[in-house]
Amino acid sequence: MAIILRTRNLTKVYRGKKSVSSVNMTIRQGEIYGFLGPNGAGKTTVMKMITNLVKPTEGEIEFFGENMTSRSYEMLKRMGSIIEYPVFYDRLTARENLLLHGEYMGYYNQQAIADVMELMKISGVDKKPVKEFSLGMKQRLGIARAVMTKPELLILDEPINGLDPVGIKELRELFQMLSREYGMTLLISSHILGEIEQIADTIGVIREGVLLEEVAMESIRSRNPEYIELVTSSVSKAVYVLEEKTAPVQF
Amino acid sequence: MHKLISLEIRKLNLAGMRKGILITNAAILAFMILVVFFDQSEIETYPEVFEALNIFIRASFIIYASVLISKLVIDEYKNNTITLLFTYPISRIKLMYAKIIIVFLFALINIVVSVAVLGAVMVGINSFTNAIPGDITADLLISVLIKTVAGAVYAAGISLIPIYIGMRKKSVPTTIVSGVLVASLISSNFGGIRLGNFVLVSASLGLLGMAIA
Repeated sequence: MAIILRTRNLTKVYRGKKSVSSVNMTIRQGEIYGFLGPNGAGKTTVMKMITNLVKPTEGEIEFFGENMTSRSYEMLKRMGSIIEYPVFYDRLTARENLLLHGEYMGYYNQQAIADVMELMKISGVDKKPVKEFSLGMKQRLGIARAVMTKPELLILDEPINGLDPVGIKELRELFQMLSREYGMTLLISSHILGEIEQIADTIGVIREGVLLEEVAMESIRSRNPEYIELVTSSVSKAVYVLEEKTAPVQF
Repeated sequence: MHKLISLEIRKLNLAGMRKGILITNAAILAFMILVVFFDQSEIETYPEVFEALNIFIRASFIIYASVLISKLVIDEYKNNTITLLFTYPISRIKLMYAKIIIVFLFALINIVVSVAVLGAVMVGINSFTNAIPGDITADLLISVLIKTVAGAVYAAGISLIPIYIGMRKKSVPTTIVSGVLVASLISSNFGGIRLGNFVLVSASLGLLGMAIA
């Protein structure tokens, strides 16, 4: 698979403290990249650097084989993102917000707006000002906006915040659909291992600004198998030991 | 650029502002009528009338411009929508310029139009009451026009100063208060000295603020 985004020694120093240090990330085209880490680990900072909101102190970001600079505006056309929490022009309606987004992105397709609102199940409220939306609805609208322009890379920072279990399940299916059917690449961050585990193809674990590991989900599964194999010279003795001497827990 | 400006305007609630502008102008007009026609004040000749009009209108629109700045710029920072704007494939400098141009043109056009309309009303009333002596000559009109337009240009420049101060604190009250301060500073007349020189300095300061913003 082609590499869509790569960072080299990406470092960000805030007030003399390294909030991200030497992150080398590789995201392949079409995969769902789960970005896992506790709060304050630097997930958002990395995402901000990728979306060109924050300038890295050191290191570089390569997007579609091109180096990103503070003037790389064209690249931003190929990304859709929600960073931290979705922000809107509160006084405008959901529909107006999406229209505005399309205009700024240079994407004019009226049908796309209706489609994404349908997809995110918010078509009933398109004439309501966003300030009356609940957090979950804003989150849905935010994802609708990010997806609307059919970006090649979708960057979602904690997308399941504020959603109910049903909503989370729907999102999970949506992400898989976007990845499989549209061939979109997704970068999803979360601090909940269980969530990431269910959707990601590759997982990057970050803690205190350091990318600890970057592995394919499959290799994690094979690394931690769900059974233990014992090799023994005497089967009956082993059975005895297992039955009598280990804790009587039946798995 | 055109496009960006129209998009910015779409995000504003212009209807509310229009009402406010009309009310302000009506208040200024009422005040001028009181001063000129009912009170025997020092405003007696046409040049003086127009000058007074200019001063009032300039001051109020500098304040209005600061309100506009807080809506266009400061609110975007406060609500974090600026981060959204910055993820668009558009140069940030252009985005900011679009906002600044709106503020500048808003002040400029409103000042010129308001002076013209209110001036015409004053002249119209005077044709009945004859409280202001003298005729309206072409020379007079031209000099008034030049003064008004030039004044409007520098006032529009000055109206950008609150961006500077407001951005430091990213607060709406600071922006508007600084707008009021700037307006009262330039419209007060220090012992009959024209503020021309001082004002030129301010205008360039406004432009400087624009460049840095």
